[in-house]
Amino acid sequence: MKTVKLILLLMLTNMVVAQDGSILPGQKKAIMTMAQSSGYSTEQWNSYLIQEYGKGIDDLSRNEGAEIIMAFQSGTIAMRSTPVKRIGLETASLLEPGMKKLFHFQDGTIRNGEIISIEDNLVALKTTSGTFKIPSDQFLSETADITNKRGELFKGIVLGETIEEFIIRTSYGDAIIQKRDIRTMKRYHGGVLDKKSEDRRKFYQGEAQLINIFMDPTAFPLIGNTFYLSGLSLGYGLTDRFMLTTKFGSNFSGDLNLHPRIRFYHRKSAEKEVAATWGFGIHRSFNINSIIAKYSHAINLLDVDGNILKTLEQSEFDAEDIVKRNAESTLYAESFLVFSSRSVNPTGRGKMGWSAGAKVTNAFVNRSTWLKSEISNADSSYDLEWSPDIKYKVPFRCWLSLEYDLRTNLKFVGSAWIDNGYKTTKLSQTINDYLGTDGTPAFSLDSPRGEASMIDFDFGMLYAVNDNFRVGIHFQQPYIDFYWEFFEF
Amino acid sequence: MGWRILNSMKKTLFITISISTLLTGQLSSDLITVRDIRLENLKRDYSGKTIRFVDSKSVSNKGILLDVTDENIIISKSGSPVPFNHSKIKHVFVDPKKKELAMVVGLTTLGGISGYLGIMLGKSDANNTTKGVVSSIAASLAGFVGYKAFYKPIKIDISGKTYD
Repeated sequence: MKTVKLILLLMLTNMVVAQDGSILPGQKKAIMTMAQSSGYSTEQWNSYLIQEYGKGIDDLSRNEGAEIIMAFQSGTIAMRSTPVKRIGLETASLLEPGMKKLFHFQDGTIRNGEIISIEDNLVALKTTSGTFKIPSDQFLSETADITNKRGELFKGIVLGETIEEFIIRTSYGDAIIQKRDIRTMKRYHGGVLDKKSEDRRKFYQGEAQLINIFMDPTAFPLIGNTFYLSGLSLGYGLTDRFMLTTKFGSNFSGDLNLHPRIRFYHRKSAEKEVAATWGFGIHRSFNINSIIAKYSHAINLLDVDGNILKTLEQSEFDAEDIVKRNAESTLYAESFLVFSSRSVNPTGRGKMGWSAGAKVTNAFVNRSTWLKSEISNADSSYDLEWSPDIKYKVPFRCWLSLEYDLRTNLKFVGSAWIDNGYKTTKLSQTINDYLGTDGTPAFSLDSPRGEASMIDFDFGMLYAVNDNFRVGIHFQQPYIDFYWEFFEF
Repeated sequence: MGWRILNSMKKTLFITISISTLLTGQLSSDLITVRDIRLENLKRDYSGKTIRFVDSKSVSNKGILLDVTDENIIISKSGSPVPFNHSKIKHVFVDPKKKELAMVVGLTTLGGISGYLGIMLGKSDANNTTKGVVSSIAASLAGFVGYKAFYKPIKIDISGKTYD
């Protein structure tokens, strides 16, 4: 068992590390060869890299290396016919009174303020720390390369930025790019890539766009033509508002299942995105023992006079002990409704959002026909019944989830729920459940173990290793989340 | 000699004025370009929808957007098209409708149900008054959050401003 855990841990570590390590020696060699054949000297090529990526060849990541090789192959990095632009700091070509933003200067300083006036090339900049008279040639130019979701690439001077848009002066005219449509963006100050400020100071949305928080869905489905794979399920976004998932662990156990999700309401601006989604799931052959185990605290053991002695959870019996022989599996369906909202954090750093939803299932339909009328052990005999308590009439779960971008690639996530069938399990139980070493199907979480905890909460972190891979850790089952999203699959 | 100096001054003044006009013209055309793009987007995205704006006389107008021309926004008011010069209009609003109200009602209901189920699971012996109070508080909170999130007009910038 220890060996299995060790192998699993090693595999996971390798997987995480392998996602985006340092550039490979082979990649470096290939890049240098291609750069030389394209007419770049080593110095010129290094200058190009610093200008485009803000770092030298040794500091590039594996993904960036692959990107450069592809750029050479596709001709995006053209043959060098003219000298590479000097890595000097370009001065701003457009300054006007009333401009209010973060200005970068030749001496490396940065000031947030508003231009009050421009006289004799002296710009009066009003900031919260005072008013400064600064020569206009000290202001650095601000340019950007922006790719939108339709694949269009814009390069030009940043004329302005509102809460919703970027206004770029390109060689062929001015372009307004909606921030909500931006897929990638590189921003340059004085002609040099400003990676640090872009990554840390302000970002428009965290990289991870969550379709679930822990096990609960959000109202934001996968975007169209995106493939999703997690440790428990796989899915596909057929359109921007319709997606399908399936739990592959159950499929391999003969319980074919599908979980469609439809977003029926959506409004989006750069500041805020709200949506409402409903979904359902259907399992053709759901294991009755799993239902009994999940709701074991709702099954009473009675004495001959009909007095409740204890619940199944408190007894020494297992689910399979009390289920009739002919009751093995059932058609299982669930349905949920969820509302979500994401908005720009007032600090300008990423987004924060919430989701609130409710789910009901048909797990209690015909439930009385599954139980044996009585069970006994060496000491005593008990009658069995489902609890008549109103709280066990319908299986339900209501949740409120929160997400908060700490960094562009790191999210804080939390959730609170009320669920009349929730059981909290320890990490070791969860691992055994996932691997199937406790007798339940592998790659699914359906353990009969655990302790009923009908009102509970959980929190943790989710890290976007790269554009495709996310890994998260939290403090209730399944403890570790990992999934891949492949866009334009 | 004096005549020559005067001529030279005139020349300098002429050149200065020309350059200033050129620069000012450039700046103003930039704003117009940005504004034109925003107006085109407004026409593309909101034609046929009810919009609201405050015109140059500070009067609030509401109607179905029919067209956006170089000079006017044309809306349908009481069935007839009415043009409004858009040079002084900076923002257009799209107010929430029944769909947004339905979202708020949905979220309020969800809050109320969650409150009821929560008290049922958390305190089995709760009486009807407690259940009612908790459900009402949860519904009110959910309704408030839903109202803030879903029931808000969309503000569309149609000015030529390039920064907030």
